[in-house]
Amino acid sequence: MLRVKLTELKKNQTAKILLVRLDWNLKKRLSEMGFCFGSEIKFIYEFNTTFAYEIKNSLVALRKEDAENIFISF
Amino acid sequence: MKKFNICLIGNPNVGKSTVFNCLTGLKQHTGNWTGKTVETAKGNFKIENYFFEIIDLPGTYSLDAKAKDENIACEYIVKNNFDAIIIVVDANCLSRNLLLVLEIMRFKKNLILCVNFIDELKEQNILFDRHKLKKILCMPIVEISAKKKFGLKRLKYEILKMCLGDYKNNRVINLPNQIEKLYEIGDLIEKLVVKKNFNVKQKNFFYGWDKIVLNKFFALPVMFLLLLIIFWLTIFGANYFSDWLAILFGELEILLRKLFFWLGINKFLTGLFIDGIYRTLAWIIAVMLPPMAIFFPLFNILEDFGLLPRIAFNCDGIFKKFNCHGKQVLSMCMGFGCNAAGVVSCRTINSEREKLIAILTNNFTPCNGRFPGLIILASMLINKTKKLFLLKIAVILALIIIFSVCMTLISSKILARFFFKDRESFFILELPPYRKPKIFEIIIRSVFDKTLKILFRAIIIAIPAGILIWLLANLKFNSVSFFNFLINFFDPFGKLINLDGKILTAFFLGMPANEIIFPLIIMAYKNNLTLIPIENFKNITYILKSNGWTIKTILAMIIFYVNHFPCATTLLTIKKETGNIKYMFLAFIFPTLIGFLLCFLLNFFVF
Repeated sequence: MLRVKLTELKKNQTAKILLVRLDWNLKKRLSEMGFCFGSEIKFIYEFNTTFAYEIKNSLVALRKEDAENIFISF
Repeated sequence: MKKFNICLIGNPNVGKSTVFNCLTGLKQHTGNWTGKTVETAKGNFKIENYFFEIIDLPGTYSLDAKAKDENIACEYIVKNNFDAIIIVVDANCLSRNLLLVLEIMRFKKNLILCVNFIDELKEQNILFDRHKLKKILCMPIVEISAKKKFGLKRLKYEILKMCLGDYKNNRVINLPNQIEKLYEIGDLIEKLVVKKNFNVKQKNFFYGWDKIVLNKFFALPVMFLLLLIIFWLTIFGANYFSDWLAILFGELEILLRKLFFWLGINKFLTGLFIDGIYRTLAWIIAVMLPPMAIFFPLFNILEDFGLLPRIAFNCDGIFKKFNCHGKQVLSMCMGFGCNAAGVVSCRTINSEREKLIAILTNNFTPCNGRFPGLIILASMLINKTKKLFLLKIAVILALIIIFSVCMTLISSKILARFFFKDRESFFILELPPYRKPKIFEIIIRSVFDKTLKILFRAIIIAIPAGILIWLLANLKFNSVSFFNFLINFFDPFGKLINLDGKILTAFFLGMPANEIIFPLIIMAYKNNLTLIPIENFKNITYILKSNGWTIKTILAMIIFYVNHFPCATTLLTIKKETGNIKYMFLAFIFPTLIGFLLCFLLNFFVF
C-alpha cells in the first residue's frame, strides 16, 4: 500500500487514514475527532496554512505541520 | 419528596444547551460552536409531580479529555451518581458521537440516548432506524429536534420512566477501551442504523456560505467589514441610548437629593450616597449598558450562525506567526464587548500555552467601557467644523482598533518568547455547519444572560469604588485631600510619559471600571470634590483642551488608554481562570509597562 502525507490530498479527494505520527496528547485529541486508522477523510479547503477536512461527517480544521504527520492511503 | 438527579452529556455543539432550555425553560445561551457551555449549568423541572434536577455539562468528545472545559464534564460524570444520564448525539455524524456513548456505557447505567437534529436527516431523505439502534444499544432512544421542539414530550416520558426504574435491563457492559476499536463498533452501528436512500439530497451546509467566507481573497476583507459594521452599529446606536440614560439619571439625581433633604439626612451621608455611590453608578451604567446591549446580541447572532469558528480558521495562519491560537481571535472579539467575558471565552482554546497568552493579552483590545473615551479622544484630534467629521472619527477608531490588534499580536509574541517557552501548541477546530440563527431568542438571552450579568458585576464593584473616590476627595490630611496627595505622587511619572499626575490618578482610581476614567480626569482638573454630573459629558473636550492638552497628550492618552492594566473585574477573572495569582500580577504589570514604554517613546517621535 502506498503511504502518502495527508497534505498531498487534492480537493474533494477521499482517502483512508493509515497512521498519525504525532505526540501522544495531540494524537489522542485527533483520534477523538475521528482521526484514527481506517477513517475516511476528504479534503475540503485550505486557507493559508490551515486545512479543513471532512471526517466522520464533520468538518475539522488542522494546521499544515500537523497534517503533514498524518499518513493516508487510497 | 425525592428529587431525581439527571444530567446531559454529549459531544460539543450537538445542542445540549437547547435541550436543557427546552426542558427547564431556563434561558441559557446557546451557540453554534464548540465549547459554548464552559461551566455546568443547573436547572429544575417537574413532570407529573416528580421533581428533577438537571445538569448541563460542557461538551466532550471522549471521557479522558484534556482541555479544562471538557475535563469538568468527565470528572462530573465519573464521580457522581445519576438517576438518568441523557446522552445527546448529533444525527448527522452518528458514528463519531457513538464513541462517547460507548465509553459511557462501559461504566454507567440508566442511559437515555437522545438523537438531535433528526429533522435535518429527514430533509436529506436519510432514514434512521430507531428500533434497531434500541435493540443494539439496549437503551431507550428518543428522536428529537430541539430547535423545532419536536420529541420533547417523548423525552420527558422516557426520563420519568427511567427514574422510576421501569427499565431493568439497562446495565454496564464490557467493551474494549481503545478508541480505534470503539470507532469500528460505532461505524458498524451507523451502517446498520442509518440507511441512505438512493434519492439522497446532499445538503451542503458546509459549503454554501464558505465560498465567500473562506475565499482566499474575500475572506479577510469580508470579515473585517463585518466587524466594522458591528462596531459602527454598537457605537453610534449606543450613543442615543447613553444620552437618554444620562438625562434620566440626571433627573433621578435631583429627585434623590430632594428626598434626602426631606428626610433630613446629614451632609456627610448625602455626599457619600449621592455624590459618591450614585454618580459612579450612574456613570458606569449609562456608559456601559447601551453598547453592551447592542454588541452582545449582534455577536451572538454571528455565533449562532456558525461564522465564528470560520473566522478563527481564517486567522490561524496569521496568528500562528505570533505564536497564538486562531481561536484567540474569538476571545479578542469578545474582549471588545467586555474584557472579563473575553478572558472567560479563552477556555475554549485547547492548548495550554496559547490559552495563557490569550488570557494575558485580552486586555489590549479596548472594551465597550473604554470605547466612549476613545471616541472623545478621536474627536479631539479632528477639527470639528470641517466636513466628514463622523467619517474621520470612524477612520481614527478603526486605526486604533488595528493598533490594539497589533499590540495584542506583538505582546503575544513577547510573552511566548520570554515567559512560556516550552509548551507545545496545536490547533484543532471543528467547523460546525451553518444553521439559521434564532434571532429573537438570541436577543432576549444575551441581554438577560450576559449583559445583565456583567452589569451586575460592575455595580457590585462600583459601590465601593464610589465610596472610595468620594472619601479620597473629601477626607483631608494636613489640609491636603488624599486625592491631591495621589495626584502629586503620580505627577513626576505622568510628566515623563507626556501625561500628568491627574490623568494617572484617574487611571488608578478608575481601576474598578474604566468607564469612570474620564469623569475622574475632569473632576481632577476642575478641582471638584465629586464626579461631574453625567449630562455634562459633551463639553468634556473643551475642559481638556483648556487644561493644556496638546496633540502629544492626546496621542499618549490613546496609547495609555489601550495599553494599561485591566480593570478589577478582569483581573479577578484572570486569577480565577488561571488558578494562579502570579498570572494576575503579570496581567497587571505587562500591559502597563508596555504602555509606559510606548508613551515614553512618543517623546522622541512627536514634537
